[in-house]
Amino acid sequence: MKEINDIDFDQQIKELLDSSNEPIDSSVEQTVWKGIESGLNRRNTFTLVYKSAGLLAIAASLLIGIFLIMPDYNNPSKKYEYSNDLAVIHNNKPSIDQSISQIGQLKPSSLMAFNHSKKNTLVGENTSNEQINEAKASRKDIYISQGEETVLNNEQSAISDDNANKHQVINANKGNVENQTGVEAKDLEEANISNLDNVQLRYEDDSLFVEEENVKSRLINIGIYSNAGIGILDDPTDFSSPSYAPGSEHAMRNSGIVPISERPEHAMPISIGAQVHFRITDELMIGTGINFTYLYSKYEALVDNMTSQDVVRQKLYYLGIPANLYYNILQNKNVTFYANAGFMVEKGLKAQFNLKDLQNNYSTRSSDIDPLQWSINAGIGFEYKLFPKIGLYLDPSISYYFDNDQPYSIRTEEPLQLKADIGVRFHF
Amino acid sequence: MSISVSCYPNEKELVKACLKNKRKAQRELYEKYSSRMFSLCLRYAKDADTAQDYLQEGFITVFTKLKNYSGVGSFEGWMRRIFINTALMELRKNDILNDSEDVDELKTNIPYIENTLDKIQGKEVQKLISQMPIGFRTVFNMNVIDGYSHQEIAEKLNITEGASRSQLSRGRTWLKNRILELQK
Repeated sequence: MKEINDIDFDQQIKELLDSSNEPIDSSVEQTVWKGIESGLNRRNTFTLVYKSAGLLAIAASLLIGIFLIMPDYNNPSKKYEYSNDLAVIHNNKPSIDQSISQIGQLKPSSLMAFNHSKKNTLVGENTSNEQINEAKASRKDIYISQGEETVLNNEQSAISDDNANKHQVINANKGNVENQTGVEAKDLEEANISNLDNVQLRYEDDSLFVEEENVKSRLINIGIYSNAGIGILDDPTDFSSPSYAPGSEHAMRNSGIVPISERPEHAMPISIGAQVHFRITDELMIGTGINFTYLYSKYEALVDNMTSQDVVRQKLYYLGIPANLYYNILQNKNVTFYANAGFMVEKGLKAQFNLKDLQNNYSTRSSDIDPLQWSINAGIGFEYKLFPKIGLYLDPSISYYFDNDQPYSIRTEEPLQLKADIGVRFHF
Repeated sequence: MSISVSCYPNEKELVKACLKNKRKAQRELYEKYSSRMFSLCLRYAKDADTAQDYLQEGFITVFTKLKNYSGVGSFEGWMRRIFINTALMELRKNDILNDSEDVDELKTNIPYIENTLDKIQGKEVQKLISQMPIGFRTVFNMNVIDGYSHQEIAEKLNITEGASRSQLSRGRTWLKNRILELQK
């Protein structure tokens, strides 16, 4: 009898253990898998939120940075430029005690209105107290604050148009204006009050402003969007393993077409839409509308219970209703930065498949898309006003498309999408 | 008898799909390795429930750390390391490694002859190992079954190499005693 050493003993024990792998009990296997799925879902959610927040923070920082380095942003007089269609009234030497109820007692000669449009001038050098009172009475929302600093001086010339009971200041001493207020005369000359019914007086930074109110206005935008299907969680994008397995429910919903392509071609989704924005406060708006999306994919697939291998050209059409909340972060005369978040529900209108088999036989089929597609989105936006009522805008955002048993598409393979809406916005 | 058909031509493709967070691929990978990894967990855990916990945590770690797998070397070997680390982490967390039983009464210098182990099955050895004092079991598993050196064990368990050798020697003796008792 030969005695075995420790090394041989260990080796034999290891071999015994290696040979004793028994299948895990199916109920245990299922229970553990549910726990794994739950854990992975939690981590994926965390990752999604973390990365989205990070991207938004970076983008917002960039935009704010750009905004901050814009000339004269921190100059209080710059606020003048941010107001839509602004005119300036100067109170030559107002007293601290003056209030809205006393505006009519100010000497008309101490007030000047800037406006290069005759019909919209508010008050001028020769405006009478009665005229001021009349103007005041017609505007319930007028208020006034007081200060002491002079904005303009008497060397500036003002021409009144008594016949029209309107007044216009022209040929202002630009040098004086610039020296005393920091506002370029050019801006003053461009100031324009288009609607006296929406005017209020405001005293700020030692200047008295007449501003056209923009509150409660309604914005309607009509946009044309292009959505770039850039996956965020998956890096790099790899479509070699479609989530559709032969015989799966997904495949059945995909008209029995099971993608097998290692390199499917998913075209960039194209959407067009129109949205209406309703202002809730100065900064907050809600928006809804209608959105049409077209998705195109080309891939190889097993068709009809894997009896045929075809090249599939697939078109999907969706009609959606978005709902978003918009918050204006920063705003000036020509530029607005805002953040937005919301969701969209889409109904698949039709799925069309053009098939070509290995013998080059062509066939087509189509099917309805029953379940609704839900998605959530968040992003930031930038609008540049080309004209007072028309602006160009760019809304980069992140959208997440939930798994709602939709046909195979770039959305099922890359549910987290980065997109950019480019459009024209009309302000009414 | 169920036959599972893989959607992936090989393990590399399966791993690639798991990297893309394809749930189906993850399920397939889980089904492929769950039995083997459960056996491993059973060796380190004090009972089956704890082993299930290790199995669940281990797979979650595998899927979330998959991008760290370089592709060099055995994928199963990489996974085993993950599961062992998961078990060790739990053991350390619960301070079990400093709570070993006193086993001074073990008989040493047991004459162990060839063919003794022929009469025992792997399942029985597995059961005996799960009954080992935790300190012995951990070091025995790491060194004998999973191939860690004493230096590596010392680093992972925060003990000295001498302590590791001692635990292994005593663990081996403990196991020999139990096997002999089983065969009486």
